[in-house]
Amino acid sequence: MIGPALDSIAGRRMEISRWRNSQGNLDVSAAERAAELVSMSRVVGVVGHAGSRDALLAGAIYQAHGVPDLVPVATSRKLAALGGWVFPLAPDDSAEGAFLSAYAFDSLHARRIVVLYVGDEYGMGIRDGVRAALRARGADLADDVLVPHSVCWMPQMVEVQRLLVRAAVRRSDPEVVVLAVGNDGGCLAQMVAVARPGTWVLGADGAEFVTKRVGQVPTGAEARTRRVVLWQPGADAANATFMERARRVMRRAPNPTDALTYDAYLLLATAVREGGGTRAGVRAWLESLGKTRPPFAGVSGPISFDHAHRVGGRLYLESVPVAP
Amino acid sequence: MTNPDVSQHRTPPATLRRSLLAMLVGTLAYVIIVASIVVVRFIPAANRLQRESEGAQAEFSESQQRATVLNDNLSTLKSMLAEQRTVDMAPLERMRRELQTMEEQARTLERLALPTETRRDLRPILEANIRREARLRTFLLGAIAAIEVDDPRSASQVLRAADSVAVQALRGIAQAANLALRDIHLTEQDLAQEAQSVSRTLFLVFFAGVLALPVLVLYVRRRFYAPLATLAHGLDRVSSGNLDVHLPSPHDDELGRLAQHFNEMTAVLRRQKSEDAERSEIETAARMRLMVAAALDAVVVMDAGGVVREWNPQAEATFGWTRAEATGRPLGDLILPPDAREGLHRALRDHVSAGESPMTGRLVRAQAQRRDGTLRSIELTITPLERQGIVEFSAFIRDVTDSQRIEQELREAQKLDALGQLAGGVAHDFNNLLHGIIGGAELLRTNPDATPEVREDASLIVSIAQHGADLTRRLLTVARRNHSGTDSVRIDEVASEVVEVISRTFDRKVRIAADLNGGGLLIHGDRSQLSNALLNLALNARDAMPEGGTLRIATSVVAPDDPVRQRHAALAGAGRFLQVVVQDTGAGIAPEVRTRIFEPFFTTKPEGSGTGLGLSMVYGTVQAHRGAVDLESEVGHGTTFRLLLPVAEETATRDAANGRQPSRGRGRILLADDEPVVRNVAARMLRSLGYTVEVASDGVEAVERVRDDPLPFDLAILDGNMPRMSGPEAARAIKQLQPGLTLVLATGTYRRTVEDRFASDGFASALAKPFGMEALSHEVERLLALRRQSAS
Repeated sequence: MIGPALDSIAGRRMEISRWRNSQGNLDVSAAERAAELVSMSRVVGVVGHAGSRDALLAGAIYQAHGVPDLVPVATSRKLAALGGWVFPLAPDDSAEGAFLSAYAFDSLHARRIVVLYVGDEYGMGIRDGVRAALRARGADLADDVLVPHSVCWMPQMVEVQRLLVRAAVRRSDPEVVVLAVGNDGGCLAQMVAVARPGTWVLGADGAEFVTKRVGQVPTGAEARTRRVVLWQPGADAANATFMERARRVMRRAPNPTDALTYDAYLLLATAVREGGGTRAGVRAWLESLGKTRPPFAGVSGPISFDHAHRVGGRLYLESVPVAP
Repeated sequence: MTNPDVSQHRTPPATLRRSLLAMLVGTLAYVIIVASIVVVRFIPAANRLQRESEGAQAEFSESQQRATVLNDNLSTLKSMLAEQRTVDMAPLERMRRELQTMEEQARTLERLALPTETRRDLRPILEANIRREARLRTFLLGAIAAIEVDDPRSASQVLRAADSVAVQALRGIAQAANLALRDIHLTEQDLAQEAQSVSRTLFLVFFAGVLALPVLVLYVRRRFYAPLATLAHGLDRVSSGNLDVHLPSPHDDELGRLAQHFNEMTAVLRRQKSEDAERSEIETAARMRLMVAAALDAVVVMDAGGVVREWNPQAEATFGWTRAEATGRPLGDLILPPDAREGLHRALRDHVSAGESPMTGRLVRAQAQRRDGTLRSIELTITPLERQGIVEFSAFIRDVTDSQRIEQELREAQKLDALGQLAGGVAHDFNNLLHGIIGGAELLRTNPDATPEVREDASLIVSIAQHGADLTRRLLTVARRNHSGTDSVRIDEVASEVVEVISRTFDRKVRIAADLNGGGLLIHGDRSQLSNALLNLALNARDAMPEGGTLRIATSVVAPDDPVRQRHAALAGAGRFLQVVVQDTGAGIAPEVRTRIFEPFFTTKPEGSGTGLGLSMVYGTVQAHRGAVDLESEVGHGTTFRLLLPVAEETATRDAANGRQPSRGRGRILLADDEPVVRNVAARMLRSLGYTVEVASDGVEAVERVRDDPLPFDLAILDGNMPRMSGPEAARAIKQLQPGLTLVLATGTYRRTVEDRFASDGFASALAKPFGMEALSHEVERLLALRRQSAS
């Protein structure tokens, strides 16, 4: 999908190196790959990596070697703190935590809020963001519970997960549970609905609500389950073009990750073309957005970076299915 | 336009620069090789091995610690379940938080990212252990949760699973420990091997460097130090004045070219020095020729045989031979009388053969002979000149004939002056004696008690003594004690004396006629100079009449309209003049000579007959007397000199006093004179004239008498020359005591200048000793009358 788009933008041939990690918890090849890329002088920019953990690992290397790094979907606030060579396109976990807290506290009027999180930068970032936003309102988290990562398909671990959810519900009796998790979002949402029916479940942007059923879900659980998304299709021409192209190429509707990655590729291509084809030129061009030149018109909205490389983006909530 | 020399000049290859560059590059390469070995091989290897070792150790250590904590937690939970007691939630909550924190720490970015330096074989073991630890923590958290929800069965199941994982974890830790220990050992071995390899390489490199060092030193010494030292040595020699320096230039490099330029420079300097020497020699020779040509001495250069080679203009003037005539002839033949020539030639031969002779290298006085045969006195200095083996002689010859004559005249003048001094002293004493004789005779002659015969005899004594006084005066003149300055000179007397002298000394063929009509008029002048002037004119007149003739000396008063006076503008309106005429009937003076006859040393007389000073002295004497000299001459008919001299107007006054009889007077007079005879006679004369007289033997006593005497004096007569205090000194002292006292100076050397000076000392008048009764009476009377007039 990206190639034809670049062809229509770049006036010259541009090589795109595509790489995707295995999403394994202990996989450290993101750093190795980043070290390989920075050693290639013809690499003038990088799009990636996907998760906050990999993005932070690799971003530190890009920052150290002066390679512009456009991070499409990772939300760790530490990305922006890496330095001037890293450009996150998604709002960071502070913004997402504030968004979730505002919804739970102000819209749902919940006062007992529990965060179930995985022990990585993403999960801890969402947890800290929610806690900070609540404290800003004079409240605090009722509890925060560490849960294992991606274990829904492991019976023994599912039982452990269930025990953790039951214990958390027993300790805090939550009105809202925030799931700062990955693939196990659906399992945990079902377990929360079983342990305390009527509890609102708010998934962070990385939470995946798969279709595996791990218990008898009470009626109405789905109505109380939401998930944060980083993009929603708009009505402008760019979105229309993107949607049409995505359906044609991928034969499905694009998701927020597709949209932000699409924006990252186009943005980098434009920066390479207009910034002179050097790493410093690309960085300077990206930093000039919203300052000496107008924000980049992406499908996720106008893109520009403040002095701390925080991007101004929007967050949305969508309903998600809890069980098949 | 291109200078062909410049355009064709080819810059030689800068091999020295290349050599330096090559040495620099070689040294840099050597250093780089050594540094590269250390940096590229040793340091990275050491760092890598160190990191690997440290990483393994750290991972192993931390993993062991975590396992220990987990194992403790596992044991705690097991014991809780085994005791079946009521669970306290607080420790469980702390344990849960601790496990959560451990999990967060383990899964944070840093802990998940194993160091890339971790050895490949150790890495999967460590990663598997990390995963087991995570599972163990999850089981422990699950067990805690089960205990919290009162589900012991689930808790037991979970703990059993945890046990299984813990066993695997401990096994993995042990495996990792073994691997870590092995890694450490291997790392140490690698490090040792690497260090050994690097050391070996460095040793080889250093050994090569040590081997290359002497070669490098020799090269530097040969290419740099040796040429520079040679150049420095050459510069030292040049700076010390030695230009005969040639530097070798074995290499065609900068130093070689520098040596070549140095050699070119010394060659140029040598050439310049030679040219300067030649130029200096030429200039010196030219300067010497100018000096020789301008010398006031005759300078002659002759060869060893005495033959003249150089003959300067002064030699031409001295000896009458031109340079062309003199050159090539023996010097002796040119300047010496025949009998002295052989002596000169023998002296030169002696010097050539023996190296010295009586005539060379010293001042020799000799008689020389001019070309015209006249003899001249010379001072001769002959100096040998040896150059390039050739002996020559220089002769510096000075004609000292005139200077010797002047010296002779000066010696004679000094002798006369000494005689004059002697005569003056005798005359002075004799004058005092005459003063006593004249005074005593005057007293006797004016004594009314004397008989006529006695007074006649006294008059005779006075007359004879006056003749004696005249003789004394002449002696004083000879002694020049009476003519330095302006005396009152009766010109007729001077002329009469000259006539008397020449009448007795000139040849009888010269008839002398005197016509003295000066009327007794006086002039202010130097009697001796005037006498000499007239005598010189008389001598010239005699010399102009070798065959005889008439010499006429006449004096007369010059009429104001006299044409002679009119010819001299300086005399116009200057009062009356006397003229002294000296006229001869001789050969006369040629017109071309007349303008030069008053020049010093000009003479027409034969050599040795005159000094050329006579007429110049006449001219100078007349000028000094504010007069003029007039000359009339006609060749073959004679010459007339007229000396015009201004008349001293006091003559009439003094003359008016002459012939009067002494008159008596009154007054108190102090008489001071160191000569008892003079003092006593003068006192008796004054007393005989009616004056009261007090005497003093010198100036000091005179001053004391004025100071101590109770009665004032009207007049004091003080001798000019007294011991202890002279007359002028006493006069000044007395004027301090009694300013109104009239003072008279009595002196045997009466002179106008003295009179002028004693007036400033306070004297009113002067009396010439010896003075007679008349002169004394009249002067005292005159002064006392003036005193009385001023007092009234």
